[in-house]
Amino acid sequence: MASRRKPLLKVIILGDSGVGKTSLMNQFVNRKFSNQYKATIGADFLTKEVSVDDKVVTMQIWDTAGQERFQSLGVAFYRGADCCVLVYDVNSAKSFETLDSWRDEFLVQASPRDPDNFPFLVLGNKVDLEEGRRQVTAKRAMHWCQSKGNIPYFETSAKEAINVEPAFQAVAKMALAQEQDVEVEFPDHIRVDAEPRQSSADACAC
Amino acid sequence: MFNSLSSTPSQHSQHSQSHSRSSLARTLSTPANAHPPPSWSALPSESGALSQPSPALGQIRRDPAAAGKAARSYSASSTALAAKQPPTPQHMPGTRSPRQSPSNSVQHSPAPSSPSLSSPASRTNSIQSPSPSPSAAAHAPPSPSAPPRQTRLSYLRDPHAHFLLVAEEEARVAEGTSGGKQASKYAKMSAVLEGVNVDIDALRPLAWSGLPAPLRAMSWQILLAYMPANHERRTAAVERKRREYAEVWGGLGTVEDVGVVGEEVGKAAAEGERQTAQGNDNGSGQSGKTGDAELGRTRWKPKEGEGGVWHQISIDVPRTAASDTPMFQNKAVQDSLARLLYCWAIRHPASGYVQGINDLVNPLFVVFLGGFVDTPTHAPPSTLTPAILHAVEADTYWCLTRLLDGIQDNFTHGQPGVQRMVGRLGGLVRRIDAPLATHLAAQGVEFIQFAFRWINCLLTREMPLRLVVRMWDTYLSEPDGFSEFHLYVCAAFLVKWSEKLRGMEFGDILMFLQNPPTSSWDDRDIELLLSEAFMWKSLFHDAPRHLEGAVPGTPVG
Ligand SMILES: Nc1nc2c(ncn2[C@@H]2O[C@H](COP(=O)(O)OP(=O)(O)O)[C@@H](O)[C@H]2O)c(=O)[nH]1
Ligand SMILES: [Mg+2]
Repeated sequence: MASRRKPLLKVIILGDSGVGKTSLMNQFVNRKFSNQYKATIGADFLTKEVSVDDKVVTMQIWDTAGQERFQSLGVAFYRGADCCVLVYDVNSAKSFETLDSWRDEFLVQASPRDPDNFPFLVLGNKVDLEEGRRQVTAKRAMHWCQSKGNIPYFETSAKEAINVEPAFQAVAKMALAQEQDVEVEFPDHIRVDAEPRQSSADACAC
Repeated sequence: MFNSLSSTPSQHSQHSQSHSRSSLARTLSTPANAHPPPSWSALPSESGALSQPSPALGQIRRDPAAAGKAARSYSASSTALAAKQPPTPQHMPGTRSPRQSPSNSVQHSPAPSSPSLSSPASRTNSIQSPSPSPSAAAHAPPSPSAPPRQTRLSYLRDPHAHFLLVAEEEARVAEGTSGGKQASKYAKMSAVLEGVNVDIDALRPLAWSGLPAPLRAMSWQILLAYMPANHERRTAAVERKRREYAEVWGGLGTVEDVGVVGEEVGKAAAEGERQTAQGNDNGSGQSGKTGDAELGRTRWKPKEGEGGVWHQISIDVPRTAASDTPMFQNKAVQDSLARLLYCWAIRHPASGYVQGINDLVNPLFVVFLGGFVDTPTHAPPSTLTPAILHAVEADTYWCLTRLLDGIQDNFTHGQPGVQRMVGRLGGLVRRIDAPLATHLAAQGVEFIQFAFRWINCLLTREMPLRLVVRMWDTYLSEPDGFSEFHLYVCAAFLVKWSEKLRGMEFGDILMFLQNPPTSSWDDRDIELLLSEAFMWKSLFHDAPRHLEGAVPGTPVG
């Protein structure tokens, strides 16, 4: 235990296309907002060091593409995740209604050891837009979160940097707890997970 | 704009390893069927000539009024030539009139015989498009009384030419400034394109090593077999295709009047529409950069049915643009892009719209627009008339169709084409750069994590658009450029950074490969990459597996 390196926390961001996943990740990591981000293809990756309870950890954040076509890619990106952030747009009922399938999809593809207790987080984004546009109430969202085993819920704006920091702090905390949980049984799970892939790639070479 | 001059010798020192690789290439005989052999030894000097401050995307001036009609004039004005100086912000459009103004003494008027001199009003546009906008009229042709200046233009001598070409003047200048190589290439290209039947086999090798910007639109359209090689069939064929496309979108949607819109109103309308489509796009701040203050703009909307497709396209199109191409921020352009993507998706239900296809449209659109306006990447809104946009949109639609026909399974369910190429890339890199492959594996980096996008978007995300355009000159002249040659380009692209990558850990590797430092690249870098790719292809394409691990001089570092 003493020789252990800085914990590495793998976080996946999921949700419909256009809800603001890329913007949230960039607001958290680089503290800026731009409306020039291109549509994510496959998945984008960024890292950030944060301290959780006086402990410095590295978050590896995977920002995924929202289009269904890319869902077959899930396995490659979800594996070994310590926490999954589900994002919807409070101004789009449809993006909220698909959270169920995003969650299911993640559990199927990432196949965590203990699906019932795998840490999720829900972010209702774009709360900066006028109240009149809002299609999903906080009450409705929280009700859904409760029904899925008390998933923590945050309302955010990547544009105005509202609640982004606290949300990701919570993500880090939950991911760390999860990581340590897994650590007990699989001390090296990240490496172990990452490598077997190689052999399958070999098989289809050339 | 394009700082192709900014690269210094020291900047290239990082590629020294690659240089040695291409010298290896020189010693290798290329397979007989390999086609076409780029001249390795000519690379440095030739690319020197080609890397003239990118006439590439933009110093073309052509007559927008000629849009609907097949023939267009191309006027090599002194201004266009002046643009060959290192581009400065002053060369941005907006500071120059999109059309030659008669009062500008340094500019030539189109030749009197040019059909483009017919006024927009007398012109019959083959596409049922809105009449030329007032802004087009404002840029009406020079008045007949203005004596046409003596021109030294060499037009493509084809009354039905789809494009009229300039060759001599630019060639002369090129000769004067950067040696005869560029000039003779230009002359050769023009000769090929002026043929009654364009000899595609002659065109390919010329295109492989890079097309001069003014000849690009026509060449691409011929290489994609959209424009007939035979000049007599050309006008009719293109006009028919444009009409056919208009029928496609006419059948799939309806045109509604946006009314009189200023920039702000247009923005609000667009935003409102996106909001109702799904309500999850802030929409603001996207438009307006290039303005939208056009009168009586119409807007096309699909009929009921494929709301999901339209929604996805309309949130992707506004975020397609690179910050270095403000033209793509123009609302009318975005409408064109969205419509052509939608039509393509509906007509190709096996794949439908897949994110990333929008990126593949950009090079086509910008090159074809370059057939009509100056500096297409920065085209002022006033030059983007409905007639021009309709023509460019139609040409782009058909050429996109041709291009994607060759890589269909990149976008069908499960994207087997992309997956397969990612797998092959892994195998290939293990052969050509085993230490790198080993390092990536040891770090837990999987090829799919970075190469998926490289292949899905054909490296358009990893390169500046001007270089993608140069790359596609080669892709379009390779037998299977997009479906096969691209694999070797990806391999060359990856091993280029080998030394750096082998000193990095997982996170840094991925961030590097998702954002490789190509923004300062110029034509030389891209041509080196293409040569290396060609070399790997010659070595490994259809190579029996027993070659594995027995690569002569496998580069290690
Ligand atoms: N008003 C507002 N717009 C946002 C916010 N977050 C993202 N956007 C915009 O929503 C669009 C999609 O954002 P993006 O981050 O690319 O979404 P993704 O597809 O989920 O990654 C872009 O135009 C963003 O500028 C937000 O918090 N407020
Ligand atoms: Mg995204």
